[in-house]
Amino acid sequence: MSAETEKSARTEQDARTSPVGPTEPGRPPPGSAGGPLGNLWVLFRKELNVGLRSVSLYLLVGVPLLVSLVMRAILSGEGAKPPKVAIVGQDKPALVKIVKRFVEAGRPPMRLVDVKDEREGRAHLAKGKLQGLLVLSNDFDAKMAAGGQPAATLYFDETGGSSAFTLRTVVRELLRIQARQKEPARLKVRGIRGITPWQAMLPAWVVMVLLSAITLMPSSIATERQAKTLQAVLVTPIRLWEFVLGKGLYGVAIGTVGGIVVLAANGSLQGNLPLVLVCLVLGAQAATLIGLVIGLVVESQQGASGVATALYIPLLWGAFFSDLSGAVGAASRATPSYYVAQGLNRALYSGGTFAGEWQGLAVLGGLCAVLLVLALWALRRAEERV
Amino acid sequence: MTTRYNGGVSSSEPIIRAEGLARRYGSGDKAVQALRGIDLTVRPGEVFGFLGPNGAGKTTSIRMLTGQLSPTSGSAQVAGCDVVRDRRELHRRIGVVFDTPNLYDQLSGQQNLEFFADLYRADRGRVAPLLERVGLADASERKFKTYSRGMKQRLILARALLPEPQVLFLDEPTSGLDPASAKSVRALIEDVRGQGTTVFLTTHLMELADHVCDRLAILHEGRVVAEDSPRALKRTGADPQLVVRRSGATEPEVLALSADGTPGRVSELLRGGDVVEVATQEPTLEDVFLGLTGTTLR
Repeated sequence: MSAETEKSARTEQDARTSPVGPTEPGRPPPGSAGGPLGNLWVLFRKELNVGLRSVSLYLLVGVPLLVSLVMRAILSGEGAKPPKVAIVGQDKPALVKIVKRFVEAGRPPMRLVDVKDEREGRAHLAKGKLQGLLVLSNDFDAKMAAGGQPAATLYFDETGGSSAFTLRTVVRELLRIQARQKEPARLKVRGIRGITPWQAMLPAWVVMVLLSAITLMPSSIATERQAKTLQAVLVTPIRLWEFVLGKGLYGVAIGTVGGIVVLAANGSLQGNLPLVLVCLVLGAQAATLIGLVIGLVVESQQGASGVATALYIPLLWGAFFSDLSGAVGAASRATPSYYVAQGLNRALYSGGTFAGEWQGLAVLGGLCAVLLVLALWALRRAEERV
Repeated sequence: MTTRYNGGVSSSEPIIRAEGLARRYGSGDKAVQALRGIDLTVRPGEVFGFLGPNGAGKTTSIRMLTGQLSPTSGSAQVAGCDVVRDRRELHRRIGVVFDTPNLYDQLSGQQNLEFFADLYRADRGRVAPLLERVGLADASERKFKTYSRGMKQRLILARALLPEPQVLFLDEPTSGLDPASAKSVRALIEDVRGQGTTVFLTTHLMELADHVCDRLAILHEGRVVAEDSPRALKRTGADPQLVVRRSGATEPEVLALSADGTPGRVSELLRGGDVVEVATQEPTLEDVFLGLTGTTLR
């Protein structure tokens, strides 16, 4: 037996007697390619395994959830206040004067507020700033005087319970008085699902959960760098992009599921649910990509967490301060969280549709594309450092 | 005839070959030349050691040979793969033990190994026997962070064995371990060698290098200054020594046997009449290193 054959036979014997056993016949040799999807699933499962054992995840998701529930408890009595009503009509018909007179006399129990036009009134109604909006046609007085049936539309917050009922009754009565006839003017009554103040705030708490990926991602990457587990993964057949994508999937999943949990816990999984889901996924995706870019560019854990916190706060403005005027309002409206909060608001409460929300969705999609390019650049940079 | 996957590498060829491997960190005035062009050949089944003090370039070498770091110049092939071009295939054929316990603290020993088995596409059925082999079967359900340093090191070794590697790289495998743990890790390395796996290790511990390595390269300031078996290095790299012990002296006097002044000094000591013992002493790798570089390994 030649030395070569002897060595080969010895190797075979070693393999047979190895405590971990030889390669099974018919099974691919260890390390054979398993496909990127298989690798991603393995990495994603590990992220879940590690992430679900981390306190920071529960803090980042739990705090907004808790705050939303507390706010709901505190603000749930808000609906009992007299409803705010606006009347719009180009030629200031006589009906407005009558309504004002009634309100000034303390009856009916409602407050009159001014709005510019029907569009603004409906927007306020959708945000819960108004409970009723009466839109009178331009020829209202003229038709009424001629004994006709002028058109009027009452938009009201149908979640307002007794106040909505009062509003409808009062407006009908006023129209009846105005027309001096038994049947009121041709009044169309259209209910719009309105929102209470705590519901108006809910998208902001959801955005807080979505933005958690901005701090989770950099901290996760920095921890793996510091503990050198990243090094350990990168000496397996896994590539850096797969590793980063696995983390990204985890960030999107945590944000989306966290957002759904907050909505469900507040009993607000309603409205256009596919649109709600798209808003959640796009928001989580944008936040995750921002987090990944920070994690890939800034190497130290302290530095990454500093940059993430510095970005997290202004990005949150979009969900809270977009109604403000001036620089803060403008800056808030330039954040992705503004578009997510707006999209959620409409999808949940005011019958928002994909067609109606295309602009906001396009902005979010575009932003995600830009962030993806940035993340790929950061990834390439990180790979070059190896 | 073989049942082991060897990626088509013939056992007669070197399993590790490096030519002019160099690495510079930074640029301009602040550039540091960590490795200055090393040539290296390791045969299959060999235990090859890189011996050198901290900062000699050992970790840089191992990082380049395992495809973690690109060389500034030169080339290397490990297990039939170019370390720059064929990284993915290389990583299917090697196992790496790092100098730090780099597994996931939040996961148990078993979960950690299962995760890496999945990354290597290795059979998860290998995990339990490997845990048994490294003596961690009873602690397999415990979280990694609760392990002692020695247990962590054994688990890392088990991870590196998951892909049934052709070459096992170990970076300072017993660094920071207590003597008992270091002994068990050493036994595991010898066990791996017994299976026919090529082992490449870096260490600054001469005892480890002396006991487990078939061949050694001594690295100093980024250059290989000597390469041979530990025995040959000791035989040729440093003089045998003469140890003269005198009554009342706390430390013996150690003299290089071939030094010019030694015979005169020995006569002088013997004339003093208080010599209780004269013996020859084999040089250690530390002496070899001192003789070659003028500095110690510490």
